[in-house]
Amino acid sequence: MTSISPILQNKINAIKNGNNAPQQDDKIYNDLTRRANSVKPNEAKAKIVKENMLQSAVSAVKDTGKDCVNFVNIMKTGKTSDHNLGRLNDVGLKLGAVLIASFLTTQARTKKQAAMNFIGGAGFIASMSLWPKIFINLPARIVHGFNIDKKYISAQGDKKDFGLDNQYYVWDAVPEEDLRKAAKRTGIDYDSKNGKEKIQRKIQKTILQNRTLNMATVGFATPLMTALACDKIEPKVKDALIKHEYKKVEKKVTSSEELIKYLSGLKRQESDVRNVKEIEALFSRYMAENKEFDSDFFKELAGYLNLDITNDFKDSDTLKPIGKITYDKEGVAKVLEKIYKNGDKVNIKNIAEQLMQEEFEGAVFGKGFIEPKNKSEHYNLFKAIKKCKDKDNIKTAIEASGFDNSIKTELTNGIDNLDIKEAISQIKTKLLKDYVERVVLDPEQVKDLTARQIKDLLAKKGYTDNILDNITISILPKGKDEFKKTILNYNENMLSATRTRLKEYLKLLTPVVGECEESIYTQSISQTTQKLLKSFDLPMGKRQNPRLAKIAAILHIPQKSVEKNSQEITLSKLKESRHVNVANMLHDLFAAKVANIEYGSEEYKEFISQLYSDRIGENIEKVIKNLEDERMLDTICQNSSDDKLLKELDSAIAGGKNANGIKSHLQKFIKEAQVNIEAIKTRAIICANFEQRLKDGSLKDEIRYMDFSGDKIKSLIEKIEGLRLSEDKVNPLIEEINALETSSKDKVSSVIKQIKNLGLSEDEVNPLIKIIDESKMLDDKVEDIINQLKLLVYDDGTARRNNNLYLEDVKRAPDLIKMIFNKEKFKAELEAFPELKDVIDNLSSSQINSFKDSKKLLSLSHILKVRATEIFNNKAWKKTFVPMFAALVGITLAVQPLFGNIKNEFEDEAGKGGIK
Amino acid sequence: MQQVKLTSVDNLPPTGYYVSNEQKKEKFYKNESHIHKQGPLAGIKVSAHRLTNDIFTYFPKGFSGSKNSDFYEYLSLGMVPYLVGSAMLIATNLPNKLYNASDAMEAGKCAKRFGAGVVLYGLGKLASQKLSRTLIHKTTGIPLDLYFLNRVNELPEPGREKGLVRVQYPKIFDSVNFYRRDILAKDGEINHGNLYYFNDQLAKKLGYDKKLNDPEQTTGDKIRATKARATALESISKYVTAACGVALGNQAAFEDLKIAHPTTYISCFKKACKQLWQPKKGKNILTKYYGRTLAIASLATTLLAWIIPSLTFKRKPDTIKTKIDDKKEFEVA
Repeated sequence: MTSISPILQNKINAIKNGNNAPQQDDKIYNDLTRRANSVKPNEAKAKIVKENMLQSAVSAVKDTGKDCVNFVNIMKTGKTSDHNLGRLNDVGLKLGAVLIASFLTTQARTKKQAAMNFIGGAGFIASMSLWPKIFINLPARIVHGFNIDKKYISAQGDKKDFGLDNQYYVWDAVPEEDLRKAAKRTGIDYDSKNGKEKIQRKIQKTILQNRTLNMATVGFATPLMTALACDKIEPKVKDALIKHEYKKVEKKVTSSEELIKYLSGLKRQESDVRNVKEIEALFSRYMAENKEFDSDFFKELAGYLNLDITNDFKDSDTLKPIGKITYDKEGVAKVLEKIYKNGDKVNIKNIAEQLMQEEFEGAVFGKGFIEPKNKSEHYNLFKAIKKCKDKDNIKTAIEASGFDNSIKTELTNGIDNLDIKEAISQIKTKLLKDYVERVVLDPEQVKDLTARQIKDLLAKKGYTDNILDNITISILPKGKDEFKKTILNYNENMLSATRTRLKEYLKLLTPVVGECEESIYTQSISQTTQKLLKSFDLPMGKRQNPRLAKIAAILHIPQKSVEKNSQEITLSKLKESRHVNVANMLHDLFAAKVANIEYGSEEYKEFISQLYSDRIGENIEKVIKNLEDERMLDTICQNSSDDKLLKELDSAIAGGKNANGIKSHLQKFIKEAQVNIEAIKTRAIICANFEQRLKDGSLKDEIRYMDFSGDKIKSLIEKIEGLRLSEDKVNPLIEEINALETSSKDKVSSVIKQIKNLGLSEDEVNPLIKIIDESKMLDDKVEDIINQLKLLVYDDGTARRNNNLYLEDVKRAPDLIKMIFNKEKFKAELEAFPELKDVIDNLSSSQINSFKDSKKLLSLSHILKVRATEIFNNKAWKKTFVPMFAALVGITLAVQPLFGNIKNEFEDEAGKGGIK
Repeated sequence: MQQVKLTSVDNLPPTGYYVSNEQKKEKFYKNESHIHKQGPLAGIKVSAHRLTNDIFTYFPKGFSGSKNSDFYEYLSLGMVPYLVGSAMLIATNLPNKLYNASDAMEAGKCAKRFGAGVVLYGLGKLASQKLSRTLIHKTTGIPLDLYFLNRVNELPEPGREKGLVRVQYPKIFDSVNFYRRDILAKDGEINHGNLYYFNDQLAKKLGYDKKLNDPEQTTGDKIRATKARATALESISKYVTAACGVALGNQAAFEDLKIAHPTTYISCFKKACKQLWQPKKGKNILTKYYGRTLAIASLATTLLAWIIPSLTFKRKPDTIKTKIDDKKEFEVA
């Protein structure tokens, strides 16, 4: 109970018994006697922490927060415990990881890279603690029966690992039941002589050995675990990001009107105002020397007013839609000159002339039987005059009206020499002119207004949008200073707004049809190709080590050729061969698949439904349609000024309507992407169909009689008509022969049969058949054309670029293309997927067009090659590191049962030694 | 000043035989823990000692579950996963021999930048810590990086009679509350004849001209506070500098690195520093000048880790304590 020595205890008893009174200054004895026999050892302040997985995760986060508060305390007071000071190192580590990840994000090209930086960093730090939790602590618990990952809170309030220091174990904190349970599970008798020491020693030893194992293996395991986990997560992150970006665009592009509103409502950004100093310098150069503005001036000025945005985007992929536009400097210079020379103050006659159009006329005088809304004096006079049949009546009517005398004389002037009708029409135009000049456009009012304000004034007077839209009012002022002001204003406010709109449009376009890594376009292509490659299930194949091959060749050692001579098609073959060979390999693969399947059967339908891939983005067709809407493209480059000449300048800067303008470029780009997206979904189906037609030979027949057309058909028909046979026999035959002009040529054999069945003599039949046979192709030529067709189907883009493959038959190309993409031969496929119809039409027309334009369409062999390379590289990487990880895990788990062996350490154990 | 005699030297010859102080010191040094002579490369020698012992001594001791495996050995084992992990990280990024020629070249470039980043991470941590600690030593006189030779008498392993005596090299100021005052005192006694030599030096730096009776009262708290603040600030500046090192390693200059020619290391490093300083393409100020920010921040935090402990060290208390305060409670942790 107490821990006082017997001498002192004696003294205390003596004092209590009344002998030896205490001395006054004997403080120590007084204290002792006060608390004698009641001093106990302090209670154990340390406590084991009991938490499950979720709570421990939450408290880990809380502890990090406590560390930050602790940091502030340390800076203030300078007092801390060693353990808390050591924990600050972990905080710094996490801060460092965040800084590194954010630095790498500033250099990331794509959003997926940026996201993976943070995921990888967090995963690395997490796997530093997950490796021991999953692969060391958990097996230890299962094998040995007790938890080695305990934590306790010390007397100073620090949360520490139980086995942190091998020579300092706080056994006071562990309640006895836990030790009993552990002893029971490990077969130690707790109540025996050394039972408690044994179980304590066993726990201690197990913990030490496992912590050493952790130190040995965590260096290998953490990078491996992180890399393997991120390898799995990466494609999902990429898909999620692409979808997210696409949805953002989809929200803005719900309808073209909304998009137009959004784009036209964008304010210009300050960073888009360019070349201000250069323009000012140019103007001051010329105006200081009082030089006239000549053509050089306008050319230079045109150079500064451009839409060049190449330096605004970090990656060049966003710029691909407008990549190769040549800005038309000369056209812009011409318009600038025009602006300089044609500017004038508000010219009422100019406006009035425009207002005097038919529609405006109808607004004043009505059309036919419909009366105008505002019935003015002029209208009344016109009404009175309309029905007059005599000039004198006209004159009296004019006199009777309420106009001024000058106007009256003006009106009656010069009608004497004209017919009545002409006179009426002349008076009508004069009335209209007066109306416009005096009533509508009051000179005093209109003098200082801008174009917009004039239009508003007219609108107030009740003139409809139809009329006002057709009026262009150009009120650009004249003179050098005014010109300079106009140009600077245009550059600052309007051209910069165009730049902003264009950039925003490109940003909307990229996630949908851009040629970058993260767009719906690229994603649909990669998903399709992956599906296709998976369905072929190709083995990896190995590549010969070129160095070893060279050495073997020099030393004349026969090296086992791993893959060179084998007939099997492998991923490595796909990635290393030239495009032509890849196309042939694909032909072999498809032919092998289709060999046993009959056309039109259920098996065939199953097969092609495997090859068809669903659309990726919802509503993607609608979105694309809105993005390439003509009005919308106009909104980008047209500023909302009503000035006619400035509008001309806008369209000149944007390239105008020629093929190199921005608008046409964008439309072409989007159209191509659209066609490719559609095509890639169904490409494989067309290949299957091609193989089927090759298999049953119908394609060969078509090719054989390809040249039988035009004049030859005519001559055959003439000859048949010349035989003078009965009409009911001949007419169906002639119809069929005529139909051969446009339909597929495999019906020629049936025509030949029918001719033979006409019941004619040999002398009459042979010349007919000779005409057909003259245009029959030789077999080698047929084979040659079939090889070219294979390339067309499997590798249209690349093979065409090496034009020598098509040199001979460039003229045949449109016919060949029509032969392949012939809808009549796609019956089974169209049954299953009706939307194939449009795809086939689009593909055939774009293939024909690309022969003329030498543009590239998507080549199946190229994209499969790229995809095969990716898959091969990934598999090669995994082949190295997955076995390494598996071996590590195996060793870690295998070693666990060897731990915790406390034989020969205690006296009562049979054997030698032992700690005494 | 009293001359304190050595007490722990045994077997002195009885009379008339003069044993010099040097001989006494040698015998003392053979048997007890003391501060050994250290040059500027002391840290590297200690790390090498720890690493070799890791592989041959500490791992076997740990795996066999010996009772003599202590905290120092556990912390020394922590070097191994750091080195192995760095090597493994680089290995997972190396190009596979089965890649294409063009793919392998691209992957090789990435691997070189990554490897440079990993190496510069460690060097950055080391450089930042060294710099701030050297500066603290100059202004306050506290050598936070001072090693000493510790002789550990181990318990006998099962089956043996005697325990071994092992050598360890911890630092004197490893712990905040229990820095090794005893070894400092002994060192002062042996080399300078003054138990309080170290504290006297510190008191001089604090500005006390007269010799204090008990300098430890004044300097003890100061030493602890300096160590605590310096370590806390270092734990941030180390990692900011390490991040700057990774940023350096990521620059395009390191793609020209040739592992077989060490001269390329330095030229690539210089080029990379220039590239880090230049602004990059980007929209915000942050993406443009991130490299510069990191470099300036690493320098700033390192200097802060020097300035704040030094300033708080020199701050004088209001009164000089000469007596023990009766009423104050002291907690023994």
